Amino acid sequence: MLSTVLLRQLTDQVQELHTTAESQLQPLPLPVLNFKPTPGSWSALECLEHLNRYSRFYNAELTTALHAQPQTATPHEVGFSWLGRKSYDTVRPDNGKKHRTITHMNPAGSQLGTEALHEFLQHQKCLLEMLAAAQGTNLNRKAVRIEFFKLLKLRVGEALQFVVAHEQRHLQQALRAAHQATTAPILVV
Amino acid sequence: MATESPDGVAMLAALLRLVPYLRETDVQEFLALWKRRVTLRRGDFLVQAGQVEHNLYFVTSGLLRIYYPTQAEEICVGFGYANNMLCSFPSFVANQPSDYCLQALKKCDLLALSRADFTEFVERNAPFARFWRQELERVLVGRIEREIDLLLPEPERRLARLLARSPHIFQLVPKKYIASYLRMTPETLSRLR
Repeated sequence: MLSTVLLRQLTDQVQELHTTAESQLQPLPLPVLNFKPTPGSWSALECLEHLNRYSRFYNAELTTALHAQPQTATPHEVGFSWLGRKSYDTVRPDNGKKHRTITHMNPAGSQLGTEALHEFLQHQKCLLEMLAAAQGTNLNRKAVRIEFFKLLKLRVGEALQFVVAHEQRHLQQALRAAHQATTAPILVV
Repeated sequence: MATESPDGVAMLAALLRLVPYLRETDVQEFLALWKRRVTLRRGDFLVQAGQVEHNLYFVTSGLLRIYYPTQAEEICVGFGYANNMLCSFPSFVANQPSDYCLQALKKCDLLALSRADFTEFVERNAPFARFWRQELERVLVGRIEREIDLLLPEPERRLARLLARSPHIFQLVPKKYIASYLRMTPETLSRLR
């Protein structure tokens, strides 16, 4: 995909993440946002906190990566490395396979308030600014360390796609959890 | 790997706090009535046909099926899983022997509340009576939907309606029980899916 097209597409997706969280989750009462559909699954706020933990790392990584290089690239074809493709496929929202979360990224059981939601919205704004500033960046440069194994690096473009797909995945999960809180029947006869 | 069993009372509290008009005092008072914990292994019965249902249960974890036993087959009429309250309803309200069996399909953790405590509480606590009425309305609407399901001659339409109404069922319940619930053979269900 051409870099300009990719950046446009990612910008739209992040904008949508922000709008969805703001319009569909923000108005809900705290008990709904904290509701766990099953004991083992995450509440809507836990989903967002999981994403926040990733954003704290990747937003910083991406900022460094974007500032470290001269903004002189012209529109270019953006590709995937093997690792990038693998990471992206793992978290894509249309991949129904469940994955185990690394302990320090698993927010289950933490006391969460609406600040997790505000932080999520803040991270999206930050991402949008980064995407706007990335027009002149070479998206094929390997510059973003991987959170769980920092010796490995992703290309800037694939890291962006990974982050956004991962957010889409868990925002969908958050919406499902909140939806179940409001609609699931309690009594079964 | 040992997994800590989840705290049923906390789960029930979280569920009741979703109801905006229940005050914290109502919730606390209600929680105190769930005195007994029940653990079932896979295959165990919570209620057998012929027994009288004296309890309302809250499912902390696991999966149960409600079925009507006949000579030829066991007809699934419903499922209970985490965050559900369940009982053999006709028996519970009429104090008569149950026609239905409630069986654990997985290891289950439940909390129990006696009918006497339950009735007494609902009769004196107005917000809770409202909550209970709303749940009964929800169940009744569900049962009407289900009646339509069963009157549809085409298995694919019965399946489509269940998929639209309760997609999560397909993640939780083994296919053969869903097939029974939908009045079709497991083969038909697997062909349609």
